[in-house]
Amino acid sequence: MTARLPILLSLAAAAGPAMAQTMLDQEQRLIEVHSLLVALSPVGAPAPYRAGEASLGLEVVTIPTIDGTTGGKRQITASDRTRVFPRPRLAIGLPAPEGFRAFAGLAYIPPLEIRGVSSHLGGLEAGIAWLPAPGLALGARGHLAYAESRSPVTDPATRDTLRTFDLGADLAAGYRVEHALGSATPYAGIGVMRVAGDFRVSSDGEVLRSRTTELALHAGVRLLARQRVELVAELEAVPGRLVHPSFRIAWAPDWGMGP
Amino acid sequence: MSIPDVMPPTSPPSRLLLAAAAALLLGRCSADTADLRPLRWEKVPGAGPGGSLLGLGSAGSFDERGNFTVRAFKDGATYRLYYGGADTSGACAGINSAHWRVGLAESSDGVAWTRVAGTETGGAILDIGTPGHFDDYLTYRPFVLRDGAVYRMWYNGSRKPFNCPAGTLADDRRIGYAESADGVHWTRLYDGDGPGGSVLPLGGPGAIDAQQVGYVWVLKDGPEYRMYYSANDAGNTWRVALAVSADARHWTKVPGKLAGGAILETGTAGSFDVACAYQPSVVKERDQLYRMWYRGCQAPGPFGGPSRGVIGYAESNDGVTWVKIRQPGPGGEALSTGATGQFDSGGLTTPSVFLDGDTWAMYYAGFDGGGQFLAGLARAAR
Repeated sequence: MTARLPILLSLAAAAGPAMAQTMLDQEQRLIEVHSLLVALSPVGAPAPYRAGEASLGLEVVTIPTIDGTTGGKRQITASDRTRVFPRPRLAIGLPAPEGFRAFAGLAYIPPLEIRGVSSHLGGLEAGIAWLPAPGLALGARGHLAYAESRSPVTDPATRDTLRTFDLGADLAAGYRVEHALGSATPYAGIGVMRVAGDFRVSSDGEVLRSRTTELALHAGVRLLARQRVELVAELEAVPGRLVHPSFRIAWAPDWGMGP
Repeated sequence: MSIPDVMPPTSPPSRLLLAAAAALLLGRCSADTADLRPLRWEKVPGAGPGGSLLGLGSAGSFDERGNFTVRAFKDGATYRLYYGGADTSGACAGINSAHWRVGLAESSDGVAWTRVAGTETGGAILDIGTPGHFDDYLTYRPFVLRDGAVYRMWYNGSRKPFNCPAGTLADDRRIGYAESADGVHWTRLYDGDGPGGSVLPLGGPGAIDAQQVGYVWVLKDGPEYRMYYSANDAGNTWRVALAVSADARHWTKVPGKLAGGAILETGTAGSFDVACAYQPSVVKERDQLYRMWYRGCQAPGPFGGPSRGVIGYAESNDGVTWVKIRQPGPGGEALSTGATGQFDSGGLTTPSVFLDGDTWAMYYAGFDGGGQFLAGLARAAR
């Protein structure tokens, strides 16, 4: 069952119905897809850090092919520019009651322009997990992110702006398995995200708005080597909108501040 | 450094790892930006000749020769169809030499119509203008907007017959204005800013509206009135242009981004609207979604100007910048001409669209191979 659940979830999400009818629907869908890409996905098992443990690393968000056709126009999308974007992430374990774990994390991208694209992003997350049995964790997490991206969308010579605010929460379950080389924690979860995106066309100042609340599913595996290297691979699915994997590689020191 | 919380393995970790990896590999990475799903228009046969909605008017009536240039909307529980009608005056064939006036029909279902007997010539509700006015030969293409307690009508006016003698086209169309308290009895106002007190001034030499203006559609959008009007240049090509007003009486032209300031341009070679793109019908469905249906002509007429015609479609986020969107018709049009024997087998003109509950209704005028003009209806699920 653990093995089949992520497969079923991802296939179901990929088969989401195409409800759009108008050019505006397509434009708003483009805003939503780009906004969902920068949302702060878990990319980690539920609350894996004890108090004093930390994770400092890089998340790699993959970008699937995004069709920029809207009505009779062809917009430039993120996948026309790059297929991945990296995002530094930091998480730290917080003190928690017996049988629980808590953590807080952040992500930040400075506004550096690369190949005509810049994305200034800040995100916060916090979570708590209950450990009812050895290896088993049931977690809840809240997250938010704000991003302002400038890139040529409507015309290669312009810099249009997408402002995105994402707010969400998710529930997840993970089960850690020990091995001689470290531990592996398969996990899966479900959440909801509120996404607000404002896309401003620089040539005429027109602002297109999209507001949507979406269900999000995720499943992945976290590997923690004895050398305190953390590797995470996660598949996220927002039904009818987006399916894509993300990865994280991090150094996970243990400063021994708690049990 | 030791691994915290060491616990005995309960299942082979390699199996779980393989399962997770398989999930990642099998998951179809995708971004669903969705396909367009155009409206599917279906013509609704009426009781008139060839499936039209209204038959010809009775002998002596203002619309004995034909009805065309429609504007329909739902006014309370009653559907109202304002239209142009042609009498039998003049020596040229069909409606070409006729006087055109404005009439009204009403319906409870939008399909079966009853003419409202107007008090003007031949039962019209708006006669041609008195001699000397810009609308003293043709008064037609009514666009009626119920604006609170006032019914506002903009219409086409001309001092020439439409095409009589053959090849002598009316090239002096102007926009007229009238008001009414009940939508039936109208008072003309010749106090506009255009020639002869018409509504809209012509453009200067070389402008897209240097020769004629007409076929308007007015949208009250917040505090602003928007007039989508048909602009005719010196070469007799029709396009769509825009003007705005705060009082619905005095208008300021708003140049669009297209050549000459048009907001809708004719199509490229081979397209269904290569020869004309005009007669707009605009609906603001919701915030940031404006829909426009318009007449597109595949070829210039034998004496210049439009000919034939189907209904095209465009969308806009702001009502100013429009994008034509291919529709299911053979040439990319939203509504095509009818089959042989149908009233609209020759061409379509003047779409008039509104959202009627969960159904889109498009009233339009069609003509057959013999030049007989009659009104028709198509519907589409929302």
